Amino acid sequence: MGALVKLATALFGKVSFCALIGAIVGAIVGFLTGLLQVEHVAPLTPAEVLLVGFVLGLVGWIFVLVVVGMWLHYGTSVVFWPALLNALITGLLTVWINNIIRNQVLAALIGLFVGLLVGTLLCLWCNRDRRGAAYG
Amino acid sequence: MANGKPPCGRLDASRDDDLTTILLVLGILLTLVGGITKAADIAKWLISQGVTLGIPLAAIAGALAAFAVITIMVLNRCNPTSGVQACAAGVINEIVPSFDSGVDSFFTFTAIHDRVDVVVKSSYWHLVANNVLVRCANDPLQSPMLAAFYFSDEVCAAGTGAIIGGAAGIIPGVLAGVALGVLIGCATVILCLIALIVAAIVAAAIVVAAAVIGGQIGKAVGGSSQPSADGAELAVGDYITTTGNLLNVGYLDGARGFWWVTDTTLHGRSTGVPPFSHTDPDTSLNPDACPVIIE
Repeated sequence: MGALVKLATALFGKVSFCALIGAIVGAIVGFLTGLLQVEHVAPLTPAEVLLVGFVLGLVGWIFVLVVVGMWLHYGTSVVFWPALLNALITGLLTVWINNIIRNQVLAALIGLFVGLLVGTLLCLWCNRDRRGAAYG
Repeated sequence: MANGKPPCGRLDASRDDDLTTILLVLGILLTLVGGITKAADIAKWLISQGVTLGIPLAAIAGALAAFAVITIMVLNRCNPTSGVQACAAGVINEIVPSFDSGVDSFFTFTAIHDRVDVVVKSSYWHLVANNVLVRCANDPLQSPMLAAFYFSDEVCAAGTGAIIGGAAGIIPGVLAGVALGVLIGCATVILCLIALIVAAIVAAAIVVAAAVIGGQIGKAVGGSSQPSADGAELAVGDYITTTGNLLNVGYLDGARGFWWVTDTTLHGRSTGVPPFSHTDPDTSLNPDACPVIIE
């Protein structure tokens, strides 16, 4: 376990809180998108990308509310709105990119990186005016 | 030891071992499970059995992800973390028992060990200062505090129970998730999406439910314990000296604390009321039980 924690720290220790949240959502969305591609070989239409991205973003958001907000004691009210925005943007982008790349093995990793990027940008944007905010 | 008062509040972002480990494990787990879609032999065999691959994998991933999150949380709470041996003394400003919230009482694997917040004597300010966060009491002088965590058998017994329960819930969870997912089916993209989500969530929910049951059993078996010194239960206002493993504690946003206290000496009780000032133990707690360092 110690080695796992050290590896996690080495990889994500310097990453902002928003980016961690985005990455978790992205990994979940990416994974489920990959499975959807296994079941439905044809690429999604733009309308389906929007719908699937929105729904899977909500699934990732619920995961964050339960695990991060409740179980890890950050508080659901604290992460509620920022995580929702983060999850929906990450969800849409992840589904869109995975719909282009169409690699089920890499789908979760692609989502993870998309989430890291989205979260990092959101944190930078949020902290532009208020440095040291709780969600950052 | 001469040292100035460290500034209260946050100086830098902290890292959360639970969150980063959960992300790493989720990333590995979901990529591995996703990789099964390319394992041609398994896929062909399942399809020949009339089973599509997506729904079973969603259920497996849901169950394993839930189990992994629970296991990571328990192991991070109950495995020792390396820090430095240190000694500090002061007055107890607050005691936060484990299982102090409804969430911790129900999801027992989320509980954290009993915490005693000590307003330390000014001679120990160097132990409180770090580059992440300095926690201070709400007194007019904003006196720095050290957290002292006391290892709780109850917390770790509940955690072990939750891991055992969660493990027992994996197979029933996967079976139930697959059954419900298959029932919904994959006739259209939307139905398929719902089937995948239901399979994953049902499997995860059953693992969590089993972990909750296991955690409650473990908590009951573990028996409760309170922070104490020489058999006497600690209370707010007590003067204490604590020795233990000092580090930046992730559960306190990176503030310094003993994880865990190995030895406590009780010196008596303050006549004041919280929030305490460092001037109280500076004046009334002399000498304390920490070894004197001659420089």
